[in-house]
Amino acid sequence: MAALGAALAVFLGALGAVGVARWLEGNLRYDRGTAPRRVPFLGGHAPSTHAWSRYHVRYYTMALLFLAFDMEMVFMYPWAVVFVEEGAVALAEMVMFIAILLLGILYAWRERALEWA
Amino acid sequence: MGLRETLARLALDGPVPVFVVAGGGLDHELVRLKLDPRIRLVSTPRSANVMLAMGAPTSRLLRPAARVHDQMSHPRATVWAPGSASIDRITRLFPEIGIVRAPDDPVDHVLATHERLIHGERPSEPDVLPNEEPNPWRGVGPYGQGGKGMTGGVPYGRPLPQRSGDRDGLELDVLDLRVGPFFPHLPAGFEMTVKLQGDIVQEVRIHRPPRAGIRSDLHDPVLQRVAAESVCIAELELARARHHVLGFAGALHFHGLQALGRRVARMATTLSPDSAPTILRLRRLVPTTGVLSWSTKGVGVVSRALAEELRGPNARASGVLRDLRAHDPTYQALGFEPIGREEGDAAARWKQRIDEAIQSVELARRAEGARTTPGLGVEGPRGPIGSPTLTSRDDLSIVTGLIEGMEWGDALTTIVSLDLGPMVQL
Repeated sequence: MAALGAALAVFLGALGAVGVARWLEGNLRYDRGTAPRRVPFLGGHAPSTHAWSRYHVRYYTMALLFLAFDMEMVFMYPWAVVFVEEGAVALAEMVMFIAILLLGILYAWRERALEWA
Repeated sequence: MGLRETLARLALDGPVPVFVVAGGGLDHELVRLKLDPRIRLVSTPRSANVMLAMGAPTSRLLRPAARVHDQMSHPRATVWAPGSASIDRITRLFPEIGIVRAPDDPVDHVLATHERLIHGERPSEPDVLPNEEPNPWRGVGPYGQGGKGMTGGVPYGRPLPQRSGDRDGLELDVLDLRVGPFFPHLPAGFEMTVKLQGDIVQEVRIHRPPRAGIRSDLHDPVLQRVAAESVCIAELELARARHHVLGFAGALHFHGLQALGRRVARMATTLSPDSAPTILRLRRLVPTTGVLSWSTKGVGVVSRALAEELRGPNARASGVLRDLRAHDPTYQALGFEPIGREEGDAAARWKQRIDEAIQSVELARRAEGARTTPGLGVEGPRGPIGSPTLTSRDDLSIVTGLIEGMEWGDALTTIVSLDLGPMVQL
């Protein structure tokens, strides 16, 4: 009997929650407005084409560059661990590695990959 | 105090958000509105409660005005200050809304209207245009777009964008937009169709309005008189300085520095022959804001060859030192020499105007009783006064050539920096 009472309480509680949610939706929902109000603002004209369009994600080259240089850190962690043991050889190797990567940056720069448009 | 009263009190506490729909010939009126602390000019109708329309309407502009009206959020009201014009045309298109005739100060009417609106004494205005979807939902295709596949059909009444040519190895869509005539910061009546690919302007067509309506592109009474009669050089030069400083205030407003813009505009209204140090201080202050460096440097460069077609400070900022004052003996006696720059970008054009304002104020101080010589032609703040009263066709083709290929923000920066005259009168 107690179990039935608990189930009834949960049911009533859920019903109440749905009621409250419905009331909130009816009273607080964002008013989409009338058709003329929804038109995007262009200074007095309506747009002639739909805004559903594919456009150039211009940051993708920068994102790729970032990824490449982010990966170099993966090499730097184990290098930092063995740096004391290996000494100057490790330092020279890392300088060479970073110099090669820097050439990559210079190349990307020359190819105007760092410019927005 | 109830919740409604508290909210109303809060709404009435700050400046009233106003969207201004103004025609050509009202530049000074607009600056006065920008200076008024009781109202705040907003750049989109969505954040405005009151639309302030100024000037006599032409039928070509009434429909765009109605569209802007309908884009305001509720509660909303319109104050139309038609000046001396008849309001028959307005009431024909806006039959339901209350139009307040504002013979004296439109701002007082805006405030009174806003207060009644917030207290609920005046109902929020209904739409002027019919509440109809341009094309109703068709329920065909996976997105209801009325065709097959994602790019078929015309969802919500607008065709999907066209595919444009190859760019960086990608074929993408272009957006066709018609911007204006009430786009903030563009000259009154300026309308253009732009093809945007992402935020890059691919193609521009500027719509040249019929010439009717505009009497002069200059609104200062001294500048209007100067073509017909001899005026005091001190007055003329102060009017020129005022024009340039006000223009710069507008540019600061456009670049997001509203408070500094208000300060500079206030400075413009109080210019006197002794104001040169004040403008110099402004000249030194401005570099700290960045408006003349990162956002305008290298933007919209007009080459020297192209500048031959331009007039006034726009030409001089690219190194074409043409100035009618240089041939005027009165000005020669005052020691006038045209100043110029070489860079030709948006930053150079603004620096040129500030420098010319300083020069004008100094000329005004030296001029004493000297007057202009009639018949020699007068150099106005936008070039020789009297010849083309509107922005000329050459200017517009140069604008088109300049902004194609630019990002949208740079394109607007360039248009603002060219200080074009009004295109049409509302």
